[in-house]
Amino acid sequence: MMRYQLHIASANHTLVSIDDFQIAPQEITVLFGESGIGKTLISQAIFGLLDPFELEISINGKPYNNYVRSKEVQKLQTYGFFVFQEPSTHLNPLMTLQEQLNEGKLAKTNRQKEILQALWRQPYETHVRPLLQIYPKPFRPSGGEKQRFLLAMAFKKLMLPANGAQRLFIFDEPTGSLDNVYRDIFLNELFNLYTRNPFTILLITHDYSMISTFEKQHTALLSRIHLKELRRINGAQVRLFDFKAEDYTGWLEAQYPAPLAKKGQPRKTVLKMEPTFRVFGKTFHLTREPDRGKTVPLIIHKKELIYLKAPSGMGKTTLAKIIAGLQQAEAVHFELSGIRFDQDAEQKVWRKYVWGKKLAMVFQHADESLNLQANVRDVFKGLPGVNLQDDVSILNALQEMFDQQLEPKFLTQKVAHLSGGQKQRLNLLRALLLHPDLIILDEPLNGLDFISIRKVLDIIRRKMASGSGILLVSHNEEIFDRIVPKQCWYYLNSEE
Amino acid sequence: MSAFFVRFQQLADSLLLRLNHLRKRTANGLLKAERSMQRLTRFPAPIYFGLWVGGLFLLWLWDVLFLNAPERHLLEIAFAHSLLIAMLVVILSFLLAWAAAYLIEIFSDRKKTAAAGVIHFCLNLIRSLPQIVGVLLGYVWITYRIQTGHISGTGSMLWMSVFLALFIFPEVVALLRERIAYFRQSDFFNAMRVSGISEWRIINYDILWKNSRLHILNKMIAVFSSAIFLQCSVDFIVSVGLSTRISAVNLPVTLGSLLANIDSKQDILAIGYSLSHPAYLPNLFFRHLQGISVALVIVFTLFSLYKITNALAERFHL
Amino acid sequence: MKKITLEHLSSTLFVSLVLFGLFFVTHPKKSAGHLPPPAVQTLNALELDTDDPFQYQLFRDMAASFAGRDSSRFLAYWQQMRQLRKAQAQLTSGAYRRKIASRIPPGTLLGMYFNFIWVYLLVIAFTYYGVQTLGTYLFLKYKQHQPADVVKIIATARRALLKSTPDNWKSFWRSCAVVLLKILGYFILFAPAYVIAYSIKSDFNTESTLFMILLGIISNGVLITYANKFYHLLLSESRKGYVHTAIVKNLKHEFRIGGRQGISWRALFALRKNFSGHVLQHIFMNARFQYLATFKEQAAFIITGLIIIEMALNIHGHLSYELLQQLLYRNYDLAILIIWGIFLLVKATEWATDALLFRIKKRLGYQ
Repeated sequence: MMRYQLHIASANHTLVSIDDFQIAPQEITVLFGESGIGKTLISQAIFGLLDPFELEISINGKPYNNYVRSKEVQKLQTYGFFVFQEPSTHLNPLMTLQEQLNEGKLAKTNRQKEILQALWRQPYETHVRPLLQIYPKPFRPSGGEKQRFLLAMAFKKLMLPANGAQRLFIFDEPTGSLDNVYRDIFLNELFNLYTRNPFTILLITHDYSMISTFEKQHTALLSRIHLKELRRINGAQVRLFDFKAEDYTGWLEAQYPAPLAKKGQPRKTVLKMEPTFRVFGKTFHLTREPDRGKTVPLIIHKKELIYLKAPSGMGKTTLAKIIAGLQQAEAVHFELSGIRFDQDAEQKVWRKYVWGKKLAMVFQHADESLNLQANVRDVFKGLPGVNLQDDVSILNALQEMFDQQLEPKFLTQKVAHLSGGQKQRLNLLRALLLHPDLIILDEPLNGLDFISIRKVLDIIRRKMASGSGILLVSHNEEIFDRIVPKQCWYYLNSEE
Repeated sequence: MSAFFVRFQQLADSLLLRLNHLRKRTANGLLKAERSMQRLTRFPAPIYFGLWVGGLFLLWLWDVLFLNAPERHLLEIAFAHSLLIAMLVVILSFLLAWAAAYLIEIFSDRKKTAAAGVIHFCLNLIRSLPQIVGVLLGYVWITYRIQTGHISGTGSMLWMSVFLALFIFPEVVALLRERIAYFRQSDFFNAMRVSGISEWRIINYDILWKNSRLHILNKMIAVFSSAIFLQCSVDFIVSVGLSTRISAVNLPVTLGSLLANIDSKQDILAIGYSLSHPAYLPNLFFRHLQGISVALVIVFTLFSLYKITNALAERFHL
Repeated sequence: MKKITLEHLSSTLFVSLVLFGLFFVTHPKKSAGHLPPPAVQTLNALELDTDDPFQYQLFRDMAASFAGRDSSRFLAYWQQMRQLRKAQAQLTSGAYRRKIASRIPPGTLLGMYFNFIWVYLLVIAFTYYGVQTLGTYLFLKYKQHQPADVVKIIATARRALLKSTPDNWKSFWRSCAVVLLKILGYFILFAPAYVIAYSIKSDFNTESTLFMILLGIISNGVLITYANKFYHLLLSESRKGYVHTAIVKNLKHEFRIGGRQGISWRALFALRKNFSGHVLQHIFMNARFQYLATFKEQAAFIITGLIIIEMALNIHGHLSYELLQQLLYRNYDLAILIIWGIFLLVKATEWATDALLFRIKKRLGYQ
């Protein structure tokens, strides 16, 4: 067993500390844990990627400088690989993808075409080769394509001979930008390579639905897959726990769809949108079936949860932003709480009538949506129509979202020092306090651990019951397919 | 005789022992100093600030001892004037930059492209004129107004600050806009807007105050440094180039104008002389103190401010 | 590209129109060369005192008695005579003679302008190279995380005291010498040009073009300020994710100068820097791209520095010195012409930088 005792601090502030972090050699360790708990820091520290001069790190009781220079780490880096979380920032925007795929040790592999074809499952000449000459930009290639290029780099490294050395491959959120289809393709390819020639895998993910994929598609490997969860013990001190697959699968089985409104019961329409709209030069359609079919208007009533589904990168978030007035479309028509909007509607209409009043939107990344430099109290300042004048009222509002008893000093804590789950709950609460007619939830379970997921789902159910209409965008299909009735599913398709 | 030698030997041994002991104690003291300095140099910005203030104080003490009182008094006034003008430039350029940046953001957001375009145009025009030329023309105007009696000596310092700020503030606008653009790129801006929080609060409180304070502070230190440099240069040029025979203008004395003074120039010339005649070097610190002090204040201030901004940028990843 | 060119052209046109307007307003009008009317000339020959009210009154009475109602014509002659006297007085005044004498021929002005451009281009080229080389050097030194100079001095002093060997003392004195040289270097780099020039004026010819170029590069804080900016760009890029990706692809990532895994001195001082096989190549190319965007600011700063040098050192026959002279002698029209030339130079640099950035962005697929 590869075991590590780690302490990572920055300017007298402990970032993460763990007494016993284990990775099973030649086996697959899947690591869960909420965003911000330290999974990435720990894994990067083990791989020797952190700067010993920027952070104060000790590993197994020794200074990090010595660890990084040790032969063990040199071998890990020579024969292993690390796939990083955010594909956009981990590709050089001034080099073509072809150049980046053939740099350093990767130039020694000549099986690039085979690997890319396996990851794309589309004709190489028409769908993959043109991408190789691109310089990575924010929107091209797409997030999913960039992720696949990083995975291709890892597979290229895997093809190189190891000369008997221990190979550690760390995948940090490798499927964050992939939809379920490509996620499964990646897992298949990875486990095929593993089966042929076992190596050590550390797979960091928030996607609990992978557990179902392991159980259904990779039964032969179940004994070599170790599910672990990193949980906070005290402040920055964390511990590794075993995560039981049945905790998730059992919980999932117990989920049921939210009840639909009774037929004939009058329902107030919160949003009604024409089925076709145009943005970025592309035309999109809303349907009830996954592969086109008849287009239907998008209608959301009060106390109704509508689930918008589409492959990754299709434009779900763009649609949400159009409704929220944050993205101008070339052609669109919708009515929100009695106010008509089209492509010529001026932003001042949203400013005056919609924002903070009729609509609230919870964005994907709590880290970006909240002011990390503000304290918890400041998050609620400036919200229109929200009467939280004193600390007691703010604490009472927060208590609904948190299980443990909150102390008044929680309000003075900096948002940056909260855990991922805590940030996401703050993010949600800020929207919910506005009591809008429509709440748009964009990937509400992003970065959450299992406990937080359950809490957030409870909150969503309660809010729905209290009267708001909810438009949900999420790639956690396995969870939301069970909670949202099929009658409330919509599909987004593009004309291309 | 042999008793003498024995005694001498004993004394010598005792002395050597004491010296050895002193050497070890010094070495231990130096070890403590080394460790303290290693800790302090992790964040050297306050040290450089202390060095700057301390260095100027030591220079002033030296001048008290070796420079005659009228010249020293003139140097003190010149330093105070230069410092005051630079401080005014910092305040004015920040206010101008904040107004310009905020207006551009609001106009762009509300699709008032013409209004935003006008501000962009003006900023580009100011950027296209070399700072020194712009400030020099400003000084020509100030000179004219002083001659016609519309501006007094003190008032001219305010106007000098205005013209300096006018040609420095576009740099500050660039920083503020860069910070706002950085947060606009992410969901930060939109998430708050959709929650109904006013743009005024988002830009001024959440972005500029909460998330950009250090960047702005660092920039204002750099602006202070630019103000000192430009001011000294223009005052030097004006004092050298615009002869008092042509325009007897009573501009307040500053470091630049003091440096252009004939006595100071002689003192600076002495530096070159001592390069070819090293034996003359000590005279620089006693006989040529006015010019040397002025030059030292200017260069040392610019150097210290550079070190402070550098240290802040490294420490806080600005 | 059209948009960029249009933007620059429109601002150039606007400023040119304004400046030319001011030029024509301030341009001295030639007296048409025509002689005043014979009556005025005759009146002038009488050498009357035009400022004497008694003589004026006498003249008025004479005009009234001689011409009756037509006397206003004679009063007009008196005003013309006054103006003629003023013009004659101005022509003979010292200040006016100096003002006219100081007006330089357009050909000479053009020559100075081309000389200024030539010096400017050389300084730009050298600072472009110097900034990247010095900035990269500072970055490599930072990444080596060596202790601060003060700490080194204390450490070497301590070692020398504990073990008094010639090598230890040599280390100590070397550390002290390095610090002194660094302080001297920084003082030169930060010193305003006129301080350096005046300090060596007696021993060197500080008016040569070569010296001006040297001053333009090393003084006024240009080199050190922009090298520092480039260093910070390198530092900021070194923290980005693609550097980590390059490391896990096993590119060299030691930031020593020299050595197999480090950066060679040759690569560091090369004109076209290329650090292929090392993560520094990734960092450098991105930092250089960002640096290009700030190049306009550097160009304006360099021009400011050159103007300060020429003005402060009173270098005859140079453009900025002439600008100062024309302002001094109130030949504002020529001063405006010079300012227009400098403005065009800055605009040309801005346009060239924007054009280069546009080409690069087009290649990257942003346009």
